[in-house]
This record gives sequence, structure tokens and C-alpha cells, in this order.
Amino acid sequence: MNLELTTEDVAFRKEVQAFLTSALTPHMRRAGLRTTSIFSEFEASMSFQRALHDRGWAAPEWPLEYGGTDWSQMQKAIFQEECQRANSPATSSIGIQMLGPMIIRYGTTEQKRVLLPRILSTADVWCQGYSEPEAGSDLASLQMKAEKVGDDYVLNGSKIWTSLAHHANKMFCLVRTRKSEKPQAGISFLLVDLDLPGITVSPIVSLDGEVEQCQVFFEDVRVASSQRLGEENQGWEIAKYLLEYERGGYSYYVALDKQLNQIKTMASSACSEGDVPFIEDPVFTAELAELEIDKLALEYTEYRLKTRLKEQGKPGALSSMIKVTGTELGQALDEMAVRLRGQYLAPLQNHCLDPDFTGPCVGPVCGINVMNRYLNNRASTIYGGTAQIQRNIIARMVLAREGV
Amino acid sequence: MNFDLSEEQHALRESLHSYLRSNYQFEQRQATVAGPEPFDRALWQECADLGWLALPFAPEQGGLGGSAIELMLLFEQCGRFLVVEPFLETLLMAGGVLKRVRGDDIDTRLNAIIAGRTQGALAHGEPQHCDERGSVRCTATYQGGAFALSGRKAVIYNAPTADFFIVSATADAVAPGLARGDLCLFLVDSHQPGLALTPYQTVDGRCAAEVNLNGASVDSHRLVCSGDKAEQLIRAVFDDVTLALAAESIGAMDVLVSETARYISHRKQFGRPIAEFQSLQHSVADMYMASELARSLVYAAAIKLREGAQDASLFLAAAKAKADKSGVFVAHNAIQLHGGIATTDELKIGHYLKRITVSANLYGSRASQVRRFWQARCEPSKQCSSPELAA
Repeated sequence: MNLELTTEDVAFRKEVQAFLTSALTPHMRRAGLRTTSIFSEFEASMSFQRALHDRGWAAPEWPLEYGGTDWSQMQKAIFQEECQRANSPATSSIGIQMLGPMIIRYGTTEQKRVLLPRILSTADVWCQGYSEPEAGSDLASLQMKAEKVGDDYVLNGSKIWTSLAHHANKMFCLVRTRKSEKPQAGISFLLVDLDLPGITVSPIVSLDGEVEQCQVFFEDVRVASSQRLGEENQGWEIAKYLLEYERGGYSYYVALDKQLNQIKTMASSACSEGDVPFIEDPVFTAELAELEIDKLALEYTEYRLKTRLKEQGKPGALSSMIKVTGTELGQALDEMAVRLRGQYLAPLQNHCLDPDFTGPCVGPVCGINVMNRYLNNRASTIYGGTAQIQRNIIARMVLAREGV
Repeated sequence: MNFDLSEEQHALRESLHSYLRSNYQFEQRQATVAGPEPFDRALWQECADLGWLALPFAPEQGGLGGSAIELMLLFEQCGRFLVVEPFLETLLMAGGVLKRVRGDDIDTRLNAIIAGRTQGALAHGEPQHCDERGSVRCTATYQGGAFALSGRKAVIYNAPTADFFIVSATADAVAPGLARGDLCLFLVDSHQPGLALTPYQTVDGRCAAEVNLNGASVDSHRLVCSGDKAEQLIRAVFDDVTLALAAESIGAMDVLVSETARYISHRKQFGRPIAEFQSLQHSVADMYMASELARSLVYAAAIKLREGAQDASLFLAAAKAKADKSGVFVAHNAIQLHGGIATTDELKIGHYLKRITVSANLYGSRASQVRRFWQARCEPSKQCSSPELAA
């Protein structure tokens, strides 16, 4: 047992710091600072991803031969730490973290050759078409039809909670290609151009008044069967692999650290009763200390998971635990930040969150994103498998361990 | 960074586990607790023969030089099996003081501890304080080559079986090498005149006593440590204690999670195993998470302590605070999911709650750990936040 970083890891951290110092523009840093969800302002995100691509770092999780890296799990965590510390905008996770690994695992040689470089360079911007109005946690009950007509599939139905569909030119989606007793058995995985006739993208305004999600409608949309990933009716298997991948590489503690830092900065100036800054109010600091201890527990649990992944295969239930704990703790910190924002959470000033905006805003600058992030992060225990579904997965593992 | 045990550490854990599995089933433990002796002396002797009593001591003292990792492994198993033998009191507390001081008969006593022939207790806690931070009100008055010790020590675990005590007291007058107010640690034999015990059993199956010092006259060569050194020594001893208690809790939680999962899988109500009910599944998931999160911090704290890292005390406080909170949560849920049977003395589940609750309050409260964490967090830079966040 030891907590030392290797000399390679220490050198790697310096290399990342040096890269970020030169690559991040003030615009990108403002976008990073003003982020209110898992996505940053779109243009800043894309610019940052292109800068990473120039450096060969756009897809840390991919194998080297496809333009990825050979970083260890610790190095990937270090990379995220440094990006967060430098206020980098979030990169677009959908193409790189979600679709890329699927194409690498299930794609044809041609699909890999054509699609992977376009993901890295941002030539293609992907969105994910999984959920439907009647298929949320019970994803396997999805109904969007794909009928085989000649060499095409004809798509009818709709997808919802499609993040960034209004910016994307492509969607990967799960469709029903066969009615079968077991709902999982009749699902296929299609890659769809969003400019095809019959597709309508309809933005959904979130609680913060901004658009990140869309509903996408399909009416007799013809998609060539060459645009299928994997075999027909193999979609569920592919999606499951994706869900496991999605939960593997992300480090929650990094973003939580940033929230904690912001809270401490806010608490140094915002005052509780009697002109005492919150940071000197024992009632407040006791609560904050508890949350910081919880963050530390999560951080070291993430390290435990990262350092054992290689030998012990899939993260499984442990990654469910990280997801539940990370998102619930994030929400607790959001609530605390909202309290510190006090009366200044009331002014509606979304324009101040635009990375191009440099003018004055009402209230302290630090914490300008707090109210919107609080609202957006209510979704964090819903998307990617609700906290309840994750607890089901964890319980199944704990019960199975006892051989029952 | 890695959290894997070395081969030797793995072997230690396995041998502790298999020994206790064979010799420390709950029924055996309860028989010991109900018996005339406070603990099983034959078993203690076997532990000595197996070398486990030598773990915390340096090779030059006849020990095995076990690090904080080995201590964590030892106490995790103690926690799993609800061990009542005085590993903590004799090895880490009384022994923990002795191994950090020099003196004529110190090595002899350490050898006796390692051989299983002697028992000790640290008489430090007082009615007003119960960890290293409170000021010690017991006094040491210097009179012609000896000290008179007066005052009261509270809830001293293992005192009824102790052959010797380490007694803390505050110098109430100037003495050779001492300033008024200095903390003093004395090595006192149990038959010392002026030392009186009021012994009792504890809710967690052990023995303890109130210790009264009525002007007990102790030779000045029995003063083993004083002043700043004594303060540091007590802190170091309680660092080990903190880790050990937190490690006990993660061992206990592991058992509680497993036992509960097994129980609800077999217990049938409404015609099916109650594990099929989602509310129970979610409780089990929460118990598992609480247990694993605490485990991660205990690992981190053990590593930090082994390395003498600057932030070791921060991690120890965090680990103990988390282990206490998780431990109580897990134990409460284990009882709830077992139902009425777990509220009885017959089942071991409730006995874990008793130990965990005592552990959370014995040598400093949860609140004091959280405060300690917060102070350590803010101390180095005198600033709790980083400045880069101004947009």
C-alpha cells in the first residue's frame, strides 16, 4: 500500500500543466468557470477539443492506434485534475467517451476508418438517442421502430433527453428492429445523419432557462443498413458495454474539489448572522467539514477503483457506487453554495454566464453560476441510470456475494 | 499509488482471520464475556505465541516492527470478531507509551507484554476529558524525591486486569526538570498504595474502572516522560488508537453488511424472501456504500500514518469521523433489516452496535474529530480556499 505518484506521473502532471497554460484561451477559461452542468458552452468546448486533438490528447480512453493514449488510470485522473484546476471547459463527452469505444469494439474496418478521426477532430458532433418518452429507466422497453425496407431501415418514433442534439450533426441510437418476448433481444444500434429528411430536432428548455436537451422526432426516415453498428438485434449488448464504459473513466472527486473551493471562496466573503463570514461560523464549518470528509472518502474510493481496474476487469457495482455518491455529494454541495449565494441567487442574469461576456453582473462574480448549476444538477441523479437503478445494481452485487 | 497488501501483509490478515474463525465464534466470545475472567487468558497466551503481541513494537525491543498497515489489519480482524482481549489497551496504549520512552526496566516490561505475561492500561482520561486534547487535572506534587499523584481517572479500559498503569498528571509545582503545568507520565504498578480502582463491566463486553489517586507516592524515576515530549507522545499514542478504532469499525461493518444480505435472502415474509423488496435492497446498497467509503479513508489514513506524512492527523480524523458515522448507520440498518431478533442479546448483530457506539465516543467524540479535520485542513496555508476562482 502506498499513495505515492510515480516519477512518470509527476512528470506527466507538469506536461499537462504546460500544455494547458499555452492551449487555454481566456475565453475557454471563462467558459470553464461559468459551467453549470456537465457541458460547457459549445464553441469553447469544441475549441478546447481541437487543441487537445492537435496534441494527441483528445481521447485519453481510446487505444493508441485509434488516436487515443496509453495513459494509466492515474494519469487520466491527473489529466482531469489539471484540466479542472486550470478552468478548462468540459470536452464533448458524447462522441469521444461514449460512441468511440463502441465503434472500436463493434465497428467495421470502414466505420472505424471514416468515423473515428471525425470524432477526434470535431468534424462530427454526436448525440445519443437512447431514452424515449415512454422508456427512461426501463430502457429496454424502447419503441422507436426501424423497419427493414430493401437495404434501408425506415425509422418512426421519437427520442428524448438527447443532449446537444441542437448542435449535433449525427446521432447514435437504439431502435426496435424486431418484436420479441425479451425486449432486450430486438434492439439494434444505428448511426444516423441528423440532416436526413423526416427528422425534427425540438429543443427542451431546462429549469435554468437554457437548452441542453432536445426531443428528436423521426417520421419515415430512411437510414442505410450500412449505418448499423454491430449485428442486427445486437444493440442491447453494445449499449450495455457503453454504459459500463461511460462509468469507468470519469473522476467525480475532481469536480467536487472545484465545488468545495468555490464554496470556501464564497464563504470567506458572504456573511452569516452578525457580520461573521460563513467560514468562521462554527455551525456552517461543521457541515462543510462533514461534506469535505465525504468528498475525501469518495476520492480515495475512486483511487482504489482506478488502481485495481487493470487486474480485476469491469468496475460493475463499484462504479455504480461512485456514480451515486459522486452525484449526491455534488447536489449537497450545490445546495450549500446556493445558501451562500443568499439573496443574489434571485437575479436572473444568464447572459453573465456567456464566456464572451465581460461586463458587470449583480452580486459577487464568484458564484455567478451557482443557481443554474443547482437546478441543472438535479438531473445528475436521474441521467446515466437513476440513483435508484444504481442502488438496485449495488444491492444485486452485495446479495450475489453471499451466494444468494 | 496502490492499495494492495504485500504478500506478508496478506498472510498476516489470513492467519488472523483463520485463527479467529476457529477460536472466536460469537458463542465462544459470549462465553468469555459471561465468564469469571474479563477475557480469555489462554487465548491471549496463544496470540503471544503466534507473535501478534509483538506486532506494534520495534525489532530492537523484541517486536516485529509492524507498521500502521499491520496495526490496521490486526484491528480490522478484532472488529470483525468483536474481540474483547486488550490488544488496544495493553499493546497500543500502555505499550504505546512504553515503546516511546527509555528507562531501566522499560525493555523488561515490553518483553513481558510481548510474551503475554503482563497487562497494562493508560490512565489518561478524566471525567472532564477523554482524549489527548483535554487538560489533565490529576496533579503530581513533588516532595523530596517522589511525586504524590492525586485525582480521578475515568473509564480506564483494562484497568481491573492491569499489572501496571501509565498515569498522566500535571505538575502542580516546580520540580527538577519540570515547570509548573507540565504534563507528566508515570509508570505505576497496580499494587501502588494510594491507587484505588472501582471496577465494572462495560456494555461492549470488556472491563474497565474508575481510578482514584489519593496522594499515591511514586518515585521520581517512575516519571517516564514530561513536558512537550509527553504531549507529543500522547498524541502519537492516540493517533494509533484512532486508526485502530476506525479499523475495528470497518471490520465490523463488513460483517454487518454480509450478515444482513444473507439474512434477508433467507428470511421469508409475504411468501417470498424479503430481499426481493426494493426498499430493503436500497438499504443494503446504502450500507455497502457507507462501509466501503469508510474503508477507503482508513486505508489512506494508515498509509499516511506509516509514512509520518504531514497530513496524517487530517486523514486520521477524517477516517475516524467517517468510520463512526458509517458504523452507526450500518449497525442501525443491520438491526432494522434483521427485525426483532437483532434487538436481542442472543444475536451478534446488536453487539456490533454496542462496540461501534462506544468506539465513537470513548476517546474523543465525532465532533472533535470533525473539528480536528477542519483545523488541520485550514492550518497549513491559513487559508481554506484557492484564489484562482475569481472569474
